Amino acid sequence: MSSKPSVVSWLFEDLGYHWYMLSQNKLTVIGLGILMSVLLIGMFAPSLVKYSPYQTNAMITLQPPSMDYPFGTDRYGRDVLSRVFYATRIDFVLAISSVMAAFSIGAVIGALSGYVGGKTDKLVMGIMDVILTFPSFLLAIGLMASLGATLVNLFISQMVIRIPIFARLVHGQMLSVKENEYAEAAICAGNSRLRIIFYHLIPNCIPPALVLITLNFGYAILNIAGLSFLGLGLRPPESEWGLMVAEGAPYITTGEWWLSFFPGMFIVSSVLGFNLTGDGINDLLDPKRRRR
Amino acid sequence: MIPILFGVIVVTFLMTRALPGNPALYRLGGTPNVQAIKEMEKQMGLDKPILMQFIIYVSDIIRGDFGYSYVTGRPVLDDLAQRFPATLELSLVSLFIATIVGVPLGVFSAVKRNKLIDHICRLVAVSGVSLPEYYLGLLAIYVFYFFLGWFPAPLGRIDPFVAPPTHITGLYILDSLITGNTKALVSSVQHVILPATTLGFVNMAPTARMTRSAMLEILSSDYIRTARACGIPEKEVIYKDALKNAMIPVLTTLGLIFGYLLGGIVVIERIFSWPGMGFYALDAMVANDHDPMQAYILISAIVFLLINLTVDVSYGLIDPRIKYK
Repeated sequence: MSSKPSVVSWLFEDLGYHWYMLSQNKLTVIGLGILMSVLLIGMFAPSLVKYSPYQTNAMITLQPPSMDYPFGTDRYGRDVLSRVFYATRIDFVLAISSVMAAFSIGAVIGALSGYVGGKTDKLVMGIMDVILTFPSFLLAIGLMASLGATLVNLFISQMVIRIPIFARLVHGQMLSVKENEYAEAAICAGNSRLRIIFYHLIPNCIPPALVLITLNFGYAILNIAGLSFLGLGLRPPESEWGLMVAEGAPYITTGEWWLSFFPGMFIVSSVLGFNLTGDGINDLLDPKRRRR
Repeated sequence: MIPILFGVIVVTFLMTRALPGNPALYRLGGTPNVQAIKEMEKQMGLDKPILMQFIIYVSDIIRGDFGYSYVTGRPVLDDLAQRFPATLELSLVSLFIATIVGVPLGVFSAVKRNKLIDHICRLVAVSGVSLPEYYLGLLAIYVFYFFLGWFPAPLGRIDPFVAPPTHITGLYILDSLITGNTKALVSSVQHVILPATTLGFVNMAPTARMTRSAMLEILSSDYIRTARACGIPEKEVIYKDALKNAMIPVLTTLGLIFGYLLGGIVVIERIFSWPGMGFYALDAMVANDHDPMQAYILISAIVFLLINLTVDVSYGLIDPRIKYK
């Protein structure tokens, strides 16, 4: 029995079993496969592309896909393939970091608030509810418009709109978990309240959050791409999937489909990967489904 | 609910105050001198302390004064009211499509669980969630307008050469049906199909998912097992007993979906040049016109709040066991 009762060690101890359960669902495996592919593309982008994503060439603008330029060129003659590959890095790093930050902050807020209870709890959860009352994409639009379209602000806005979701989730878990006997036993054994919260209770609030975290990675990518599409996210000449879709939008009606098609396909693939994986984890953690 | 409403107003106010640019400058236009700017600021009440401004803001809102749009030169409320029917029509048709496709898909998927058809349905549903609306919209325009020519150009609600039907509700389809205006009916239906199907497909996915998971949960419950044991035919079990109980979580999802609609409609309206409130707000944002943006975000949040409240109340109506305090 490991000394650290954390969900991480639980996950890794039975890794073989969990992998077996996960792989039972074909769709989940497909999802994970897609994710791995996109991740690898992002990580090894520099070695996979022939041309720099910033290099323009006025001679070969708006070329359809060819052997030399598998995804074609855009209106400045830049290699679409290279831009799409490099965009993978920015989108993934932004999405994953903002969701993880939102989870960390939200979980602590929700856990502490739930543990303390009383008026403070009502106030804190009330603030969370206020944020949740806004349709999240609109709130992101508003925040980006107010703060300005920079990378850091994108991170902040994506984080802020998600904190209440995780706070609510962990809060609910905390409410049910804090009455359990092992919490009482921990108090009797002399653990400080803070230690009980962080060491004993929070790790047990995490498993339901795993699904939500995975799904939110995907939603974050959709949001970031959407904001950039509207001009509120990353700005040219950066490569970002949504930005590229926006740049290619006027050319849809004149037949140059490849400008928007490929970045969009990458958005879809990544989000699909996260969704399928999230669903798989959901099925994994739900004992009722497993039995059937 | 009231404190939350208050919080929403505070957040919207703060966000708009943080918007870049000086509203007085935009209101004046051109290149005014410092004196003129200061006069305008005084006139607009921008020189007062923040708390004072907030109180004025709230009292304005209560009276229905959402400010002026300097782009159109009209009160924001008038602008929004004019564009409201367009957004409403698009939202309703999209919601209709999402429900009519999503719910049966979810039911079907739950009933034929883990068979091939279930996996196909789930794949379709998941791809709907993974698609950005604007991407699907662009693809739809490319395939169905540019390539196949089945639908007209994405230039708005109705063909530019066809007069819109007499204004009764503002919903073109409804109005053309009421007045018997076939030309307008055909044209407006043609124009609404692509944007509504795009939004509908994207929102069909969460609906199908929710319906499927709710149905699965219920189909494995005790009273269904009893019903089957009593010999009630399977079709009746599914449609009469199971579906009714699945409606509750599905209703919640519809409430949530309306939230996504409110957010996603901005982008769709832009791509299809649909003259709705979302497009209006977007234009305002690009032009740094603060009042319309502020009003749109506030109104969207309030509408979302009201919808969720309605869903909560309807729980009590559908399920007699749940009493709403």
